[in-house]
Amino acid sequence: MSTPAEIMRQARTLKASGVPTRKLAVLSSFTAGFLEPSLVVESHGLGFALSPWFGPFNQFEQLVLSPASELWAQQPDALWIAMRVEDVDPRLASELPALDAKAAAERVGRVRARLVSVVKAAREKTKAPILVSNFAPPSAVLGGLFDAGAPGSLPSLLLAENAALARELDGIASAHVFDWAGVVAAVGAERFTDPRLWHLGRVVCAAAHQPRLARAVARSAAAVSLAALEGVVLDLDNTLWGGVLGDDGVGGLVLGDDHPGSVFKQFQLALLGLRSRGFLLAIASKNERATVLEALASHPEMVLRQEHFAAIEASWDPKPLALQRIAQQLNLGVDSLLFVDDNPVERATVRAALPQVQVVELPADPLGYLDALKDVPGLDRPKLLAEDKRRAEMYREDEAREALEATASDVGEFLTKLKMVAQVGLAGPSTLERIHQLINKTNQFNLTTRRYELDEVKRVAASPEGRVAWLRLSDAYGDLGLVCVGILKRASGTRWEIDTLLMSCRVMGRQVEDAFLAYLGGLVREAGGTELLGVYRPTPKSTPVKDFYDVRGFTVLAQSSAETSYLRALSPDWPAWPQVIERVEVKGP
Amino acid sequence: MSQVNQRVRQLLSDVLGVPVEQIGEKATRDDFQNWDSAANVQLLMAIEGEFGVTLSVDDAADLLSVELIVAILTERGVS
Repeated sequence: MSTPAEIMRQARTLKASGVPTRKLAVLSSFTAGFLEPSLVVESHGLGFALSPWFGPFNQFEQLVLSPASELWAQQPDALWIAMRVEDVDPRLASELPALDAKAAAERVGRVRARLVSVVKAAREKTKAPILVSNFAPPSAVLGGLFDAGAPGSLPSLLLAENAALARELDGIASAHVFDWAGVVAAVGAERFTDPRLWHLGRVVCAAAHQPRLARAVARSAAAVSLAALEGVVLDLDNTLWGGVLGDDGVGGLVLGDDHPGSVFKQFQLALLGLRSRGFLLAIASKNERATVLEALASHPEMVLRQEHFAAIEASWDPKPLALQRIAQQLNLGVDSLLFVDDNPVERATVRAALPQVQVVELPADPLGYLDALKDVPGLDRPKLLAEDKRRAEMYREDEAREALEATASDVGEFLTKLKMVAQVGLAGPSTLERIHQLINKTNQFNLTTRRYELDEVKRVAASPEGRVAWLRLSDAYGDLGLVCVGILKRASGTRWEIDTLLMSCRVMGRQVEDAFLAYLGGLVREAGGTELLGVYRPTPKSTPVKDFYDVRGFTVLAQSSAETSYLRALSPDWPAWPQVIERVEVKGP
Repeated sequence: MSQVNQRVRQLLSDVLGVPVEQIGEKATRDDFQNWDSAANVQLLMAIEGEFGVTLSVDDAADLLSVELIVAILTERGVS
């Protein structure tokens, strides 16, 4: 570990290196400037270089409310608001035990209310993501041994406040809890603060733990600013298990409840957890496919089985080729894959051939694999949506659909046998987050590739001149979730523009887009519209939809390299809802 | 010049962001505008990390010149 002086030196070198950085503005109830060297070093290490700016301590409202403040002059790319209860209400811990339950809860609640109002005010001034520290119990307290068991004690009340804070931030666009209490607990409250540094300079974090705190902040800032990864591609031999399958056989693999097999089993369990968070797991292994499938099926200690992998590439081909095949099979860009391999040569090969792929540097000792993956920023999703939790299952259901497709004699029969049901409706509280997610991540089946903030989507949804519509699909094999988003805007008179039309590419080729277009047409008709204006704005990834309007009878109005606009009149029989899909219209939120 | 003196000057260079050549053997706090109380807290952390010693809050207030720092370290058995 580096000494404080070395960290300061490294930070100076990095700041002079010219690597582009993002501005992180820090508002705190303590002097936070001591964290600057660690924040610079740790954020560069994560590949998400930050240049921090620190507001004068304890000036939350002054900095946030005034548009002319020094804070907004920084034009921050991200904010971190760190308010500690003992700083903003120094007598709280000492006076609280004498208060009755109601008064105690009110007093603690005032701190949270102040914090939330600061966050809301900041949200009105900037679109940058905001990290908000939750509360850790003050440590300079006497007689608190039994506080954890007392419902009205400060530690107990702060647990409730942290839950309330999480709920309130959930309702503010792009505002996220920063788990300050988690960092304090991981270090140990007694060690987190060095009393000497606190009394000398209101430095709340001991020197030894500043890199850890800084890394947590940098990881959080990266996770709320960048798109998460989609897939984790795993090597097998000495990565998922110890030993070499081809040499040692299934029976010779090191995997189980005792050391050293327990290290690999724990690693597999952690990866299973990533799958439950919506990451697709895949295998890229230089092995015979049949042997790999046998090992996955028959080893009694295997946590990850064939069913947990969305793709299995077992062959003697180079790994970059395997990664490309996996990306193609899963319909993902290689830039959304993480490659995990114990072999430095394979890692170097992938880095050289596919620089867009994230490659995690694994240590030689398998005990360090987990920690190495903990520092990969793309594996932390700030919000888990229902679609994320079910993603891996949905890919499994796809395999059953493919099997059906292989046995059906023609497309019509296949689509009929799928027994598709489409729910359609207008955006509301339960669908807005997913709609926002799709608007910002759909690349292929996306006619205009316009990205919108959540607030902008809400505004259009609430306007009488706009409609935000969605389609959710399920079939005989499972629920595919919310897969289509359309934004309609009145252009002029009875002409309505299809501002946004996108669909998850997982449901391409099933007439779902026609069902959705029929629904959009119906919405326009209900609003008194008579014609649809369609726009195609080409991007390198959106070629699958370049003829979308041409093949549906639209006439070209205007054409440039940036966009083509089309027009078509609505008629009673157009656009028609496809017969192979059952329609369920959902009213209300 | 003692080795401790040399290492202390390097620490001051890291904390203050000044090339080590510009920090004399007898440099004091008055020679540098940014050698303020915040820098002193950083200096405390830097010295403890470099020499593996633990200083008191009172020592921290005495980190006022290269020579004083060397004297405090000598007291702690650093040579």
